[in-house]
Parts: sequence; C-alpha cells; structure tokens
Amino acid sequence: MNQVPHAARSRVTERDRVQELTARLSEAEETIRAIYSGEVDAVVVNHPSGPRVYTLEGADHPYRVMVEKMHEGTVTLSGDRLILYSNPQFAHMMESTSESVAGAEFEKFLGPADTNLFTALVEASVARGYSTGELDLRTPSGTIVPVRLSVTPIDVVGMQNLCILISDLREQRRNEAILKEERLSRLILEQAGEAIVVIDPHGMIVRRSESANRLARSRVLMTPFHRMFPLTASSRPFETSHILSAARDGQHIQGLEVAMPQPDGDPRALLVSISPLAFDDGIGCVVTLTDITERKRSEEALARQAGELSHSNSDLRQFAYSASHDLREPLRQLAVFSELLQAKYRDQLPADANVLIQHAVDSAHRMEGLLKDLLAYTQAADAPQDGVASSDANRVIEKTLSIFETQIREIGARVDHEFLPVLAVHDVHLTQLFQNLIGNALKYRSQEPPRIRISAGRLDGMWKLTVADNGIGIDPAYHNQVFGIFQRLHGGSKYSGSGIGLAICHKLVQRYGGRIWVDSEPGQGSQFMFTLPEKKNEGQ
Amino acid sequence: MNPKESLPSGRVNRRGSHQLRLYVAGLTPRSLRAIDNVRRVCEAELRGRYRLEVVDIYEKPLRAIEDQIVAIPTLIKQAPGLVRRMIGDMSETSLLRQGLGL
Repeated sequence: MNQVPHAARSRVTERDRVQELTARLSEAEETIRAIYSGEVDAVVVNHPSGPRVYTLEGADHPYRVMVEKMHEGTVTLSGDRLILYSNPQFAHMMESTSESVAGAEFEKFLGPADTNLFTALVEASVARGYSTGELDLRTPSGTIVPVRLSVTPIDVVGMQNLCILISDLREQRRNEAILKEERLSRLILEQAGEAIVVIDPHGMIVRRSESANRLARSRVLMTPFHRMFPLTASSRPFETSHILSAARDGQHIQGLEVAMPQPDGDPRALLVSISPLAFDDGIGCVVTLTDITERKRSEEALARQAGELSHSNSDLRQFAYSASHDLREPLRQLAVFSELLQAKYRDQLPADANVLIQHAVDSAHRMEGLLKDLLAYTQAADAPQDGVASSDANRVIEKTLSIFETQIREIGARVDHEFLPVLAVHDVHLTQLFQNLIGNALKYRSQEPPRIRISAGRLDGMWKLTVADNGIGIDPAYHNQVFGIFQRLHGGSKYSGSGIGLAICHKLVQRYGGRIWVDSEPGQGSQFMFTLPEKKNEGQ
Repeated sequence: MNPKESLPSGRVNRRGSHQLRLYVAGLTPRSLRAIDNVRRVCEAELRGRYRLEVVDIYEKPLRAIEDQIVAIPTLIKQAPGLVRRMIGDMSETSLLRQGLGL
C-alpha cells in the first residue's frame, strides 16, 4: 500500500466520502422521482417472511392474456374449494358459461368416485408444493371429461388458495387413437399382397403398398399415377382424369381389365378396382391392381389345349367311325362268302376243311363284333340330341328289366331295387349303364338263381348306386382290369360279349365326373358301384 | 433467447469490464423494455467488455435484499468505479450511458 502522509490521506478520504454521499443522495432522489412519476412496474416491500413484490396496475397484462387465451382450462379455488376464477377454456370444457362456473363449488364438476381422488391431489399439493393426477370431470349435462389436473397451492394475502391447470385428455386420446389407427392401416397397406395405391384429388399417389412399387418397378410415392401406371383399356389410354371423375360421381369400379405396357416384353394384363376416398380438398380414390397376366396365359393355354383336344377327339371319332364302317364292309363280305362257300361246297369238302372255314367265319364275326363295340365305345357318352340331362333311375331300371324280361324269366332271376333318385344324366347314358351292369350280373351268374339288388346312397356330394349280385365274382387282382377296353377275363367261348361293356360304363360315368369300381371275391358275388351327380331343382 | 439468461462477455472479471445487474419483475412491460434497452447499449458500446445478469424478482425475491431494491426495474452498475443504480425502463439512452460511465 502506498505511503501517503496522514493529512493527505484524510483529505483524499473526505473528498471521496463527499462524492459517495452525493451520489447516494442523488440516487435516492432519483428513486423517489421514478416511483412518483410512474416509471416503475413494481415496488418491493420487506415483509417478515421475505420481500414482497407489489405489481402496479397494467403490469400483469401479459399474464392475463396468457391465462385467458391459453388452450388449457385453469381455475383458482378458495380454501373451501369455491371457484374464485375460471378461464374461458375451463367453462367451455364444462359446457357452461364463465358466469355460471365462477362462484360454484368445484365439487359440482366431480363425480362421486373422483371426489376422493381430488382431495388426495389437493393434500399432496399442500404437502409437496405441487401435485398432478388424472381423473374424470363431469359436466352439468352428465358428459364425462377425462382430464389431467396440476394443482399448486398459492398464498394470497394470507389465504390458502389453489391454482389448478386442467388439460382435456379426450383430445390427446383421440389423437393417440387416430395415430394408432393410422399406423395400423399404414402397416396393413404396406404389407398387402395386392398392388394398392391411394390417389389424391390431383392424381398424385399418396399411399402405396410394397407390391405397387414392384408392379411399377419403381418407387411410386408422390408421383402422378399415370406416369407410374400408363394403363390402356381396350387399346385406349386409361386416363387418371377418368378415374377421378368416376370417383367424384361416387362410382365403385370392380374388375376392369386393363393393359400395362412393359419396357421389356409384352404388356401385362391387370384387373383394376377403384373406390372413391374423401380428402380435405376433394375426392381421390383407392386403386387396386391385380396382375392377371399369368392367369390369362394359363387360361389361354388351357383353351388352346381344349381346342386341340376337341379337334383330336373329333378326328379320333371320325377315324373310329370310318374305320369301323369301312372295315366292316369287307369283313361282312368275308363272312358272307365264307358262309356261301361252306353252304355250297359242304358235301364236297373234306371234314377238316369245313372246320377251317368255320373258324374263318367265326373270326370274321368276332372281328365285326369288336368293330361294332369299338364304334359303340367311341360314341358312348356323346351328348344325345335331346338335351335334358335328367333321368329317373327307377324308370330306367324298369325299362331295362323289360328288355331282359325273357331272360330273367328263363333263368329264374330276381331283380330288386330301392327307391332310386333322379340323376343329372341323360336317359340314354343311364340306360346303357344299367343295361351293361344288369346284363353282366345275369350273364356271369353262379349255380344259384341270380339275385340282383340295386340300391342308392350318398358319397362326396353325389349319388352312389350299387348293383349287387350273387354271381361268380371277380378276383381282386383284376378289379381294375375289368374296366379296360377289350379286357376279358374269361376265354372267348364260355361267355359271349367282347368285353367292351364295362369300358363303356367307365367312360359314361367319367363324363359326369363320377367314378365306377367293383367290390368282389370269387364265389362271393359282385358289387358294382358308381357315382353320378344329383339332379337339383332350379334355384337350388 | 431467454431474456433472463446472463449475457456472456468474452472476458469475465477483466479489469475495466462492466459488471451489471438488472432487476426485473417477470414479463411486465417496463421490465421487458429495460432488458432490451440495456442490452442494446451494451452491445453497441461495450461489446465483449461487459457482463449483464438479469434477476427476476418474482423468481428470486430474496435477491432484492442484496442490493436493497425498492422499485422495479433497477439497473445496478457494480463495476467499474463506484456502484451506481438507475431506475426505470432505461429508455433515456443518454442518461443510461451517463450512468454506465460512457
């Protein structure tokens, strides 16, 4: 510290002191002047519990505006829980006017279950200086309003009041619900197997599924629809404007076939469905695009195959017809001339010559029989001229029995049948079926007089008919073979016929989507079973 | 920027830099004007050489005792030189500058 002479020091100090006092005086005067002329917002007054700030009028304007205009509701309650003040939002929340709210008991807006909750909140706020919790308020008309309360006790001129902030949770929950739904529908849309896009009223794609990106081979979001999907319908451009105007008219379009050109290769065939969708600024739509290119190709291939098959079928039939026809003529000639030969020169020929000629004639006859049967087989199951596919099995049986009447009587056979259904089959075909089966049952009889029983039951949505006999039976090893063409299990002499009968039955049954099979053991008789469709009434 | 945050200067406590403390009452109109006026003058003439602390008497009423605050707004210049106080919204720029020793 500098060594200053004592006298000088006290002079300096005094001067400083005067300066300081002058400054302080002018400050004090300035303070008084400022307060007096209203240049201050607030004054601070000392109080046993600490400085108190007293705000002058007008200075709390910003706060008032905040409280009045804010989104939340707020109330000030007295110690007795009377509403001293309510901002407009709280009144609105309670579907009341500010006037009817002020001065009311806060309890008025609480249900009985929530009163205890509220009391707990208040006590907690007094203990901790602040508390918050959720409960339900109730408007005078009974509407429940779930809210979050923030409670702060305030001390105003010695009174213990409560300041409460009230947030309406309905809006929050509504937004959460909307968000959740939004998320869910966005998830569903994105994962959809179909190509789906949402178009806004201006033709922009605003939502899309992943499949849509794949179909367009590009990211389609926020691009014009026609650019990503330059579709044509019936060779004309499929305009987005058409889609949107159809949507505006409230039209739903289903299964419209369009083509989508590809940069590499043939256009893809699509099925388009369109539904209107409301936007804030107009009508847009939801468009679903299903790629049916593969399906169309298969269908076309199938149609072609069917065509070829039909062609080949008719070729075959023509061939079979002309073969049998043209072959039979020479055969008949052969038979006839052989028989003539036999007749004319029987006495002049040696014995074995007759036998030989007989063989030749038999062979010719047999050949003719085979050709006839072959023809019958190719023609079997053709749609007959009378178009009605409806046949009463009972009547067909009766008819068949009358054909076999003589034979039945001679061998003492008995044929029974249950009450049989009407089948969706042509009369002619059902007749052939039963003729063959009943004929076989009679032909391949055992020592006992034939007992033939015809019954019906349901199987896989069709009728199953059974022709059961007590004939010689069939070895299981041959159960499949018997239905082959020209399959004969027994040599030519003992049983007549060419073996085509069951093959024809098989073809007939197949034509109607049914099956035929046999259950049998040698010596145990046979059960032939076949399925045919039921004749349904119109309107079923 | 929150008007109540202390404005930083580049050199704190450097000999010659101004140490200022402004007492306000929340968002009252004069308080807001005072903050604005003081900051403007400081940035114009004392940039980098001042430290301004804004004290909200509503939030911290006990601070009023420290400087014996009677009216709001009040600006206290603690340094350099003698402690000076100014009252009002500081709209009179010449008076403010005089008080700051500028």
